[in-house]
Amino acid sequence: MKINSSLPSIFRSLSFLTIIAIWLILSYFIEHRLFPSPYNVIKDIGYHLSEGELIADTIATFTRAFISFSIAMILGSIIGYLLAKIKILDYFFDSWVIIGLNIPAIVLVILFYIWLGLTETALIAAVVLNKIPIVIVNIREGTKSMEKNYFQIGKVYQLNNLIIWTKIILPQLYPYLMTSARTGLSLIWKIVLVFELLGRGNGIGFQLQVFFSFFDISGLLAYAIFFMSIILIIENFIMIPIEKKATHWRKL
Amino acid sequence: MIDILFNNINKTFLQVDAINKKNFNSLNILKNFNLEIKNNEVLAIVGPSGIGKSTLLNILSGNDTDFEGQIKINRNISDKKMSFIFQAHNLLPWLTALENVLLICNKHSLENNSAYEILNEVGLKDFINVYPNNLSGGMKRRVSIARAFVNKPNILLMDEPFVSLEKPLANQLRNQTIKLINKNKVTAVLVTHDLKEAIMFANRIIFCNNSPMEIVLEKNIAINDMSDYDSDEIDLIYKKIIIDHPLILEANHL
Repeated sequence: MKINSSLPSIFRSLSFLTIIAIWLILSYFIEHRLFPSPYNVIKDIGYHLSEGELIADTIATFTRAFISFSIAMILGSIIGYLLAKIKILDYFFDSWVIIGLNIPAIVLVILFYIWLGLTETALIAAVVLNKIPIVIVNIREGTKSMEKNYFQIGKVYQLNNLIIWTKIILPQLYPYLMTSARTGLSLIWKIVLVFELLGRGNGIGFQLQVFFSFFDISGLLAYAIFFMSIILIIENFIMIPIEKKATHWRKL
Repeated sequence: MIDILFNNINKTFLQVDAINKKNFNSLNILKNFNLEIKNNEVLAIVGPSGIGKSTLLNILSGNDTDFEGQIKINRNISDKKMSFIFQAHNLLPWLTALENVLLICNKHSLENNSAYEILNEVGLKDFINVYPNNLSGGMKRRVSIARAFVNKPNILLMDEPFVSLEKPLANQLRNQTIKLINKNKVTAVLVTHDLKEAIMFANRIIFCNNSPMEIVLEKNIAINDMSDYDSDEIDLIYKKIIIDHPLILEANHL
């Protein structure tokens, strides 16, 4: 029983070690500065942490991502809920949402950089507009699929709005909120880096561009691996525990 | 809509006055429908499916406000506390049995204690922290019964509450519910297809038919409170109604 439950983590660790091993072997045989070994990359991470601006760039990127994510989640949830509840609004804005879902992220950021200049506001506005339609669609569907019978309890027992929201509405929306949050985070990380690369003077995306200019693959991998590690930490130690807590009753 | 007060020296709890209600096809389910529910009585509404019995309960409970007419409550009833045992359990799956019962309490310590007491009374002492997904159908029904009585209601609405349960379990829960109704001196309205169940619960049975719904027969029932579903006493009344009113009962598919 114990062996079975630990099997997934054993295989995940083995899989990760296999990637490192393949990388190590390839770098040994290729032996070129454009294909650095894992050891050199780790050394570079250490260097950029102590001597360079890895921490400052990471903070800049995460601040942008966090602000964009928060605005998109809050606005998207409110709009999604309203569209599900008010049919006329849904009819009117449905095509806007479809356009929002399909407009390329790069088009939005170019437009905003031209209209608002190469500013934080332009970057955050472009990221938010990219992310919002996904949240709207998720929350709209979640709101529409809420169980109507549960609301009878609220009416019969004249429960107040606070209880109806916290005990009846939000628990039904948690899965949709979590899906929006997780898919949204993975999308936002990526587009923030691209947008930084295009028009900011700091942040991980900007540094990747610098490394690209100097063909500094080791530095590029050092930044990328450090950044991915933090995202994995956020996913495993923040997002997954929150999701488990919100939906624990399903798995019992 | 339900809180229009009226003075009545008789023991009327609720008065349904000229209710009109249309269904989604704009057909009248209830047309000029009148009904009086007396204080402390258990009224059973018996009739075939689809004639508007559950619609009437939804109107009485405040779940459905899209109707014409008035529901009046006796001014002498100081505090209207309503409860409902739904046909579906309507338990929130993300709350434990205890939390589901506490949901309708005002976080008042006395009511919190009553939640424990009532769950104990319906035999769920050891399951208070279990989620509905892990409870059997009978246990879920017990939780919904406990929830219906925790706020000490003075009117209880029941919409075919024992319909999908196995016979022995249904009998056990019927007896338990009757005990709680008597203990709490609750005015109750039961909608059911099951005439024996209606006889077991009710002081008065109304038989409804047709669409729009109309009352075609009314019977007062007087039996021993503790009579079992399969008792000779209930069987005798059941047979007498069938013999006296064969056409009505045939129309009701009873």
